[in-house]
Order: sequence, then C-alpha cells, then structure tokens
Amino acid sequence: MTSQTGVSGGLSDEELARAFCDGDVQSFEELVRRYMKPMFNFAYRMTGNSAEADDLAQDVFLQVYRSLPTARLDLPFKPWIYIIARNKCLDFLKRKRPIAFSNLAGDDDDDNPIDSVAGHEPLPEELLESADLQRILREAVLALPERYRTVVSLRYSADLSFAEIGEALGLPENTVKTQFQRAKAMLRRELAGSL
Amino acid sequence: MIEPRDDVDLAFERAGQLDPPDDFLARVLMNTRTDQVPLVAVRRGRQLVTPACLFLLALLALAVLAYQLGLAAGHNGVDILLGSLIRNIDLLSDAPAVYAGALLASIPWLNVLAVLFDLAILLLAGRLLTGGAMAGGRVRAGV
Repeated sequence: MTSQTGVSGGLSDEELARAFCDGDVQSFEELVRRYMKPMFNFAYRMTGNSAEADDLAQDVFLQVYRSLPTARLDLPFKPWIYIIARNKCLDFLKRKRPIAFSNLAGDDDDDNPIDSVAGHEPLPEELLESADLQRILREAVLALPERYRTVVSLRYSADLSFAEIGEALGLPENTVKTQFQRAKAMLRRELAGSL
Repeated sequence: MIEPRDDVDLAFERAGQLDPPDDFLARVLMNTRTDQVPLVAVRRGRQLVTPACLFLLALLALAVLAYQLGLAAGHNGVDILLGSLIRNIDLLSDAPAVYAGALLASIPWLNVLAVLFDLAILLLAGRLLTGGAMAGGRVRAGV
C-alpha cells in the first residue's frame, strides 16, 4: 500500500479513495476539497481562461467520481487525478485549435541550442512587484508549447514533484526536469519581454 | 532533495493561486449526485436545441407548403398540361413557345418560392445540427 502526502484530516488520498469506493460519499467530498484549488489553477494555467478552467475542473471531478470504483487503488492517487486533468485539458485545447504533433510529445534527449542560448538573465524586480503579475504569468505560460505548459502547470499549480509529474505524464523524471528547465528559460524570456 | 528556488519560482509564488468559484464544490457534488453528463457536453447539447427546433419546424412547414403547392398546381391545371405532354410529346416540337408559356403561367410561383425558401432553412438547420453534433462527439473520457 502506498501512502502519499495530503494527510490533512488524518486520512491519505488513497485511504479516502478506498473509503469512497466502500460507499462513504463524504470521502469523495474531502478529496474534492483538497484538489479543487490546485485543479482549478492547473486548468487555468493550461487554458488561460477561468470559465473554461471551471468547466474542465468540474469535468475532472466528475470523471474521478465515475472512474474511482474501477481504478487501481494500490497506485498513488495524485498522479492519477492529474492524468485525467491533463487529458481533459489537451482534448479541450485540441478541439479549440489544431495542435502540431511536435507540441504534444517529443524526445528531449537531444540538445536544443535555441533553449540554451538565452533565458538566463534574472527577471527585473519591477516584474516581480507588478500588480499585473498574474496576467503576465498567464500569458507567458500560454505562449509555451503544450508539453512545456503541462509540466509548468503541474509543477506550479498542482505542486507535484518531478517524480509525480513523470508518473502523470508517463515520462522519466530526468526528462521532466529537462523539460521544466527549458520551459523556465522560455518563461524567463517571455517575462522579460513583457515589460 | 529540495530544488533551489529561482526568480521564476519566486514570480509564481508571488502571483499566488486563484480561488475557484464559491459554488464550485456544491456544483461538483450536485453533478455527481445526479451523475449528469460533463458540463462541456451539456453546454454543447444546449447549443443544439435551437437548430434542432428550427429543423423540425422547417420539416413540418415543408410538408404543409408542399401540400399547398400541389393543390395550387392542380388548381392551375399544371397536371393537365403535363399529362397532355406525356400523351403527346409532339407538343414540344409543334408549339414549344405556346406550351412553355402556358406551363410557366400555370406554375404557382409563390408556392414554389415558399418551398425553396423552406428547403434552404432546412439545409441550414441541418448543417448547424451536424456541425454541433460532431463537435460534441469528440468529448471523451479522461482515462
């Protein structure tokens, strides 16, 4: 049995999931309370729109409700719910506009010289003090390719570790770290250019 | 191992996280209680109601207008003219202008226009329905 973080209230996510499958509906409500804010923020980072994020997050929890009774309860809950969330968001984005295949998946083992050239200068202090920081970050994240946006959103909105992100995305942890660092370099360039 | 924080991390930390709508939890619980279809699909379903109603109304109207066209055509003698032509095809070569003039004068053009207009509406409603239904069909399970 694997126990994860999120033990507020005394029960882990996996224990709550098992209790729900045994008929305790309050356990599902507790899971929603724990995940609704990070889930909403993850969907918001992916779509840039709070109404769409609301709909998607609602759909994720409805899918969780339907799928939990047949899900593998021996596996960690957190990566599993974000697999659902990521798939929902990508499906939604695909419906909104075509996505180049190279944006969805890719092998990051090869060096990308474009990513390594710039993006190392520190961000200006006035950016960090900006009252519009949330909007600036939203636009910078939306400018990222989908695979990088997913990693960044899972890291910052869902607060997943690299190992958990790797589980959610089906990637090795080192690949996730590489993608995250490249995404940060792109973000730094975007954020510096937004002033 | 704790990853060292940099300025990008700090930017996200300072921006903080948004709060979901106040009724978010209530809506999730309500949806799960009734196990409604995903909100995205519901919204798409609602978008199909108007073209569906338009299609049905246009279909009913077509039946009525087509019936009225038939009545008017019969009243004007179109069936007699066409019957004459079927019995004697030489009418076309013997007196084409006269025949054509008689036929054109007997066709109830207002009724024909009404039927054509209704067919156009039917076609438009059909396209709206199939376009919306195809978009809704792409919604699939998350896992």
